[in-house]
Amino acid sequence: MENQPKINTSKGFFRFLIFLMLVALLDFFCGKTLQFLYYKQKSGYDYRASYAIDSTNAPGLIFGSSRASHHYVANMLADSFGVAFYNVGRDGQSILYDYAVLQTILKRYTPKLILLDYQDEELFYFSDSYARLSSLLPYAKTHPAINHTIQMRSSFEKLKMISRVYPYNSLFFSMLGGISFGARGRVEEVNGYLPLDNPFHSLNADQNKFLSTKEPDSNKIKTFDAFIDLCKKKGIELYVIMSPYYEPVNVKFTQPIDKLIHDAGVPHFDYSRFPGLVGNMNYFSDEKHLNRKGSELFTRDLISRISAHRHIAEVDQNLQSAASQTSHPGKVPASKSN
Amino acid sequence: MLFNSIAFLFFFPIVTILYFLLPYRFRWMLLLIASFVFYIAFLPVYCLILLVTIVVDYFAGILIARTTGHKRTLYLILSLITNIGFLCFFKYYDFFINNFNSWFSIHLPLMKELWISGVIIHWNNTVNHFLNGLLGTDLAILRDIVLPIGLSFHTFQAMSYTIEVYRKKQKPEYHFGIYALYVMFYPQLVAGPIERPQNMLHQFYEKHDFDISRVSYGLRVMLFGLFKKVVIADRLAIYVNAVYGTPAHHSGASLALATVFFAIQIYCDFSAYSEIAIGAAIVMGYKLMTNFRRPYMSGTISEFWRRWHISLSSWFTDYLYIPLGGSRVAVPRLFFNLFLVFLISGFWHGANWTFIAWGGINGLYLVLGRLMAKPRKKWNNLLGINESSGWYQAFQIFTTFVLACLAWIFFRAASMSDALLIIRRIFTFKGPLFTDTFSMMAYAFFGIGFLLLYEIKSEFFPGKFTLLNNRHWLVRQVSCAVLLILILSIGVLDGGQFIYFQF
Repeated sequence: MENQPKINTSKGFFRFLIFLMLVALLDFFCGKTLQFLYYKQKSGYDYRASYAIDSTNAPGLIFGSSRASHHYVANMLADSFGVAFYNVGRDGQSILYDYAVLQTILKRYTPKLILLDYQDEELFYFSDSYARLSSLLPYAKTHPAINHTIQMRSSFEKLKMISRVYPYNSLFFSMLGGISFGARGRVEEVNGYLPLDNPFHSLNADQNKFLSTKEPDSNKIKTFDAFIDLCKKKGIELYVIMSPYYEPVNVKFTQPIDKLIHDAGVPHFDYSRFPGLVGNMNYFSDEKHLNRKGSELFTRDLISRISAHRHIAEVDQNLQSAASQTSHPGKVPASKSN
Repeated sequence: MLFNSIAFLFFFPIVTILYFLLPYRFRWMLLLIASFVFYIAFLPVYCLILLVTIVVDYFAGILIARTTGHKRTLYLILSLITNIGFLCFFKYYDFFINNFNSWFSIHLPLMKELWISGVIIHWNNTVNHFLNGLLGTDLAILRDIVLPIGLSFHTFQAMSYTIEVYRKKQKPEYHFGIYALYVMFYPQLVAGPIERPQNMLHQFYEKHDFDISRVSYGLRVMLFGLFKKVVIADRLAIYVNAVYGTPAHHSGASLALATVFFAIQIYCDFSAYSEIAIGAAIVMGYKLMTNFRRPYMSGTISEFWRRWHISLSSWFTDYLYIPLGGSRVAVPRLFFNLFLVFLISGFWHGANWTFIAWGGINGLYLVLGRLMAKPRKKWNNLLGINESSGWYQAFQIFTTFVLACLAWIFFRAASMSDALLIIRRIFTFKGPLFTDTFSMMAYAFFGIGFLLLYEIKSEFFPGKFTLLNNRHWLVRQVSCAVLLILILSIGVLDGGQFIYFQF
């Protein structure tokens, strides 16, 4: 400290102003460069998020965590239902991310069908769920709809967003991976679906013990409700699904979310005890994720269940319209089903 | 309040501006209030513990100075019992009870089963509910009692005051506010450096004018500390936590890499805290003692301990090692002294056998170092090895680092069985290396490379290639701006607490 050259206060403040300008300039140029690199990516999580938020116009969408991205074969769904599907699922994300992404998509178009995958831990509080919302930061300036979700990260998020570099924090090396030569073919990805081919390896995690220490998260509960409400409001056909786990899920932890779905009156498929898959190592990559074979089997069954549900719903609708015609014989039906 | 939190980004400039705006005679009040606010941001109720020790030590200091003979000793013992009593109760009670219960197959009540815990938790939760409702804060609602933040640090600082007064090396402080500030001075309240009254107390009476050169220097020290914390320490922590969290599922290679990462993590984490503390104090005109001097550039373990956590090492030297006889005793007694000091130093860090083992291993290193000094010299002479050559020094630095890493395994492992498992696995070195993501490893190695270059430059080329302290102001400004952008772009901005807070 003794070696520091002495300067007078006014000169010092002048230099401090220059320092602030330097920081602002560096922040601007580095931020712009990082933004350029970010949107140049051709593969990876960020590329898929950008595609979901800015480009996809698929009538069918799949939302959820890594379990969604590894379990729902988008092309099988597309072939069966005759409309394009895109899998928006992302590793480590929760309903908070799904809702934010849905909001940005709805600004562009309204999908026809949404499959929302949920986990046994969906409505519990994890600080990680909020930290991982950083994936949305690059879109905050261009998509104001997600600002509310970003604010959940911390009360100072608005302040941090003054920086142009901050939204791309810790993304530099993954961006390089995403734009590098051959990036597109490095990981197999088909319309957002990421098949897993590795043999079963146990995570050795005691989920029951882990979840017993966790508290429900009121933000997630509200957001889950809001997701369902938004789909209903927009007339989107929504299916809420718990895809298979290797071990049967403890009902104690899923009761609140099951009740919430039941009260919302949306179709709900619980595969957590699906006999063909549960406990069979051949179909799983680990305790939480199906492998390619398992995901294909699951998707096939899901398609048949959705088709059956649609058929029943159609029959119901026909019966209802027939009943209303009987009670109001003079009224002409608006449309006629074949 | 954490130094790496946004709250501190507001707290620090507000306190500093007010400090320089206020007339000199009121500044101690501002600093005391600021320190109080800084501390209650963790757990408000624990301020009462701090207050009790401050009152006891304040009066003990005066009484020790005013009395003679046995009474002085009695007041000193009273003060030490109070300080060590709080430390033992909050930090070591469960450790002793758990061990007694398991050794003698009895059931003495653990801390959470004591009525006092219920009272503390009830008070804490009532106060925190009230404050959270009133101010919108996020103060912790406790289920179990937790260790008061920085208890070991401010207890040791308080003890050094009464001991120095007893030794007549320090006059008692009659100004209660200044004494309270000596214990509570916010930059070093929760993780040191552990100061001595001779260095600190007089500084609270000195007039510190606003000096922009000093302020700018202090801010640069703080910025570099923050860089070490968020860019290096918190990044390495991700890998270390993943591997050490489940050591049974990781290979020897992964555990070895995690151990090296941890050695660097803990250094960057702790020295970063010290640097931010020292920098914050410099801004206001206070000088805190240096706590780290490039410890991993040490050629021997004894040199390592003269460079690592200097304020604690010197505390133990002054108040334990020298009173035990220091090095002016017979050789066996000297070895016993060294070993005992390190065992206690290990235990100071935490109430777990792993910390005791860590202390013991370091004590053993020092004893063996002394035993081997002469034979080593002989062998080197015999083999014609030049001890002042660069290669030999590099080899010594490397072996010291490896020895330190081996000891760190015990420091970081959750239990003794985990530590032994980790060592076994490292030596068998089987299985694949867990590499997490490419990004994670790239950031980790970038941070390590940066640190290595900086340490080598500072150690072997002092005063050369300076950037942050360059004589030209524009180079300093650009370096600081680049460092800030690096923090924003590659720092772990959601990182956690400083490791040493738990002590």
